[in-house]
Amino acid sequence: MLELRRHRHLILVCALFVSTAGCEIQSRLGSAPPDAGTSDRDASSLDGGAKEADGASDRAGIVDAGPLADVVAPPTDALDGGGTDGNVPPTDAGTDQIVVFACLPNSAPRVPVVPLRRLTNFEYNNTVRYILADTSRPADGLPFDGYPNNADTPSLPMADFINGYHQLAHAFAVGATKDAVSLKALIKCDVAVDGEAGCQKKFVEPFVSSIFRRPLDTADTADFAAVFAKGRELSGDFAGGVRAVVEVALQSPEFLYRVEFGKPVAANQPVRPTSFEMASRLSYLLWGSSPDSALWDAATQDQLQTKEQIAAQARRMLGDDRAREVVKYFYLQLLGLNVPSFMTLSFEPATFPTFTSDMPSLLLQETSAFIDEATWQGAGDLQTVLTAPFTFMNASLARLYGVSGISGDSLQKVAVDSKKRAGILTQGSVLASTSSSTRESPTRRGKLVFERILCRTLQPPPSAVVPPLPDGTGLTTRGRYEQIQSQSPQCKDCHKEMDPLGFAFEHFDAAGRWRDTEGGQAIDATGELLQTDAKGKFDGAVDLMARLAQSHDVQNCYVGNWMSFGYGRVPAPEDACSTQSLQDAFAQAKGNVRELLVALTQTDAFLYKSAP
Amino acid sequence: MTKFQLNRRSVLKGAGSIAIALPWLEIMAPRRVARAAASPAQRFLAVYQPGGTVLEKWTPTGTETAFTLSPILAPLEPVKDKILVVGDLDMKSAIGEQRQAGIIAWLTGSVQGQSGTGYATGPSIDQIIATLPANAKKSQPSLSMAVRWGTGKAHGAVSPIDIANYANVTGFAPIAPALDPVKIWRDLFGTNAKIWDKSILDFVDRRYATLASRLGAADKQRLEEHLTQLREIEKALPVSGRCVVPTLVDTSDYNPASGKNSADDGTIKDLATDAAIPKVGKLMIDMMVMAFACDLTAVGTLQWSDTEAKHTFPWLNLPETHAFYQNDGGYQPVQLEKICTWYSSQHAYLLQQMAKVDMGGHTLLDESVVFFGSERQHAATYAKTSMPFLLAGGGGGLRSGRWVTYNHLSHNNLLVSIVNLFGDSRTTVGDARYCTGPLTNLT
Repeated sequence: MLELRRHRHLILVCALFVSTAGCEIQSRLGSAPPDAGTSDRDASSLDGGAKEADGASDRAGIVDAGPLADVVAPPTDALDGGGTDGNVPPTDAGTDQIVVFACLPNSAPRVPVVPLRRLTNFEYNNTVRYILADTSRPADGLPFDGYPNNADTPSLPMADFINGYHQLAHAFAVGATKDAVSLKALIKCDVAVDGEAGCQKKFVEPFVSSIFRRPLDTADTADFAAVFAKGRELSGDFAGGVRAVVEVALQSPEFLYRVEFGKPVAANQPVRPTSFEMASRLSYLLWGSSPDSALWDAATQDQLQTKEQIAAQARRMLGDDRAREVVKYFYLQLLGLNVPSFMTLSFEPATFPTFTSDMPSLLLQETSAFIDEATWQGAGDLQTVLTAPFTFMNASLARLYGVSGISGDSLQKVAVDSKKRAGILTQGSVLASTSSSTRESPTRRGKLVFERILCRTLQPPPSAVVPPLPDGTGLTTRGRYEQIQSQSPQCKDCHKEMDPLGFAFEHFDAAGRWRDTEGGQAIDATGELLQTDAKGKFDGAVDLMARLAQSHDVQNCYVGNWMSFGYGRVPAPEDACSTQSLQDAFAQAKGNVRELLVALTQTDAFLYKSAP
Repeated sequence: MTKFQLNRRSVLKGAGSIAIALPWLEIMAPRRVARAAASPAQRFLAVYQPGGTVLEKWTPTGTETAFTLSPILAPLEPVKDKILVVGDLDMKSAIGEQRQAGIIAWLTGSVQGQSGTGYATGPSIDQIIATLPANAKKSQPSLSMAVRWGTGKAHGAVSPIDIANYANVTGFAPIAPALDPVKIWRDLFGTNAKIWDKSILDFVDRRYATLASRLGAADKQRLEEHLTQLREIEKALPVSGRCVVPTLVDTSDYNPASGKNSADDGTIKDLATDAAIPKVGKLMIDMMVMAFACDLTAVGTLQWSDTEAKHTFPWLNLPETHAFYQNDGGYQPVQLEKICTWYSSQHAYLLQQMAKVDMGGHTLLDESVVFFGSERQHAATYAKTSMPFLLAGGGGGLRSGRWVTYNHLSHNNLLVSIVNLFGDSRTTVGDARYCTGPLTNLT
């Protein structure tokens, strides 16, 4: 049980409503180095041989084993006895039971059924910038789709997106065909030279196939010839034909979705993406954009099939700036810094005079520069991100941070006082975004660490009970939060988990400035982390960060966050081996993020697709 | 005005079957309510045919509700229950030059400003209807188009001799019809953002539907959800399923500006353009019907030529101009009957097309009033008594399927009645000297 609890967030649990015979459990989950079994499996998994039939997996539902697992607790206890050595004893039919999915050595590749993915706004913007040279970030006009990185999150307003795609397609098509100069730039052909028929031929097929990220088939060609003819007829001119093609292409499922048919490799096994489908998997994973010509050429030659071919492409792609953008976006989304409201952050000017209106933008530049440096220079590991004793500042940022000796508008690398600040979570961007306009929020800061760094979840607070913070007179912010907790026992159970993590940051005021005292009272930044392998007492953010940076749970959480981000979905029971292999790879690479990115291309989840 | 009529048969039927459990008036009440609540007409279309008719070949025989269509009207047999033959109205307000005063008065009920050179002295009813508040939101307040127009002395230009539509603002400016079918098509459908959107979305829809059918269940469901949302966008467009953009047929053999080349006396013939009249006429009918169905406008006028009508009918094997058979070559009723019968057949096509459009529980024709007329009754004498007028449709509670006659009342009374069908309550239209109020027995 201890082992399971330590790695609870990786435990994949299924509830079976019928006899559970055959549903494997194993408690291997965790951060141990890969054993021989997993290595064997990795080496052979792409050969396509069926290694082992799976049992009742199709009947499995998933529960992410955060603290909620404790809520649905009784079944967890059932794991105590048999968890470490394999099978669950058969139980009576009709009894609910939760068992653990695990990655068995030499098991056949497994992937969950995943509906085709819609482009996120980030991907849409990148794609039109890359293919159409549209740098206007048009998808920023769509509803915001932040964390998690899944455009099909049910809470997102689907209708508004689809209406938005319709309007964006129309606006782009109108703009791109509005005059002879624009038209020529789009179609890369001169009607005066090549004639209408010649330019139609030169434009339609290459354009639509670049939008579709694959060569056109004969049905596509016929369809878009009809589209061109209709636009030509309605408008009475060649530009109208072009406009119609652009509008239809930019609303087609082949553009807005990652359409995959796959190709079979063995009976009763997941299928493999075709090389063109793999080109898109790679480009959207590592670049958040559509494939480049090198990927296209490789796909044309069907050279995106073996793990080695795919890894080689991944390593090549990591050398491109587009990969840097993806990594930056990963962190900004994870930490909630890409939300639209961030750019309008402001604080009460009498108390926070140095938090000028350009500060949100500068703080994002600081964090972005930091992510770049921490990822692509030196060790490039998670520990650096969490504990690095440096950041980036220009004169304005230095004024906010109270650092002297920095001048000019350009950001430069600056060493920070390593007793005060460590890593990304002690940057003004994170600290300010978790504050109100007058005071910091230990709860929000603690929640961020609790959920996004430790991958733990809590049930939402009971809606009716939101007691006001007590008056600030004579109390520190911490004092006020502690008072309200002591007065609201129904809040305490959850807040005792989160708030201490926020108290670690009490030396930082709402705008992220260091302080030794608050209202004349000494700052108390001590606390205790109650769960996970990082649990224990700490004093201040630097201490907490050092503790988190050593944690396997934090590393595995980070891997899980990349899986969710990169695959655009929450890991499922069938991802047990994918998860395992990533955790192993990340551990083996000593937390190197670039290696984790390559490893993301080597999992079952990435290399396979569920059979239709 | 709607009149409540309880005929003997319905009294007997009601009293017989329900017995006396209910007061008998109450049993009959729903019918009255339904009649009284006839909603205003939604669309008005005026169709002009030059040169009058051959009255003895036009006038039906029989009674108001049991009548037989004459030879000229015979092509309208398939839509007989949708037309209202309006006989024995005189165009008393047609005062001025004999052709010009006729076409001016036809829709305006006003006298010519100055005989031989002046235009109307009042608005035409299409423009009155177009400026009613209900029509404020249409893409176009009204639409006028003409086939083979501006022949003869007009030389393709605006002239009192060829204009039927007059603005509903003081000055009553003449409104020239559109002549180029390609330009009309493009203006109506090609550059219309909603039509464009719909055409694009039709293609996009098909791509989702086709792809969904090739994918597995989970993918398919996602694409079908997307498709559902696309269809919501389409539903929000005022141009829904009933709006089908007419095919733009090749009319390159038709010169819409042919009138410019006319000779005053009709001796210059443009046989190629004349031969294309049926094709162009059909296209214009299709465009007019779809302009209504697509809700681009609520008011239209379609002119077959003008009062000079100096063009030929090659497809009828009539090598001379209409004007020639009317008068210029001596009155030739056999040929004229042939011409008028052909116009009736075109009108029948128009009404049938309108009857095919489902506007949501009723047809386009049901909600419309279509007024077919000419600038004179007799081709040679220019007589404007007993005008050959036809109404069609069911808009405003118009009761079609009948033949009604009005004993030489002024046709201005018909004009005000038509305006009343659109929910307007004025009691006079045009020159008040020739208007004694709305006609009875239309609704």
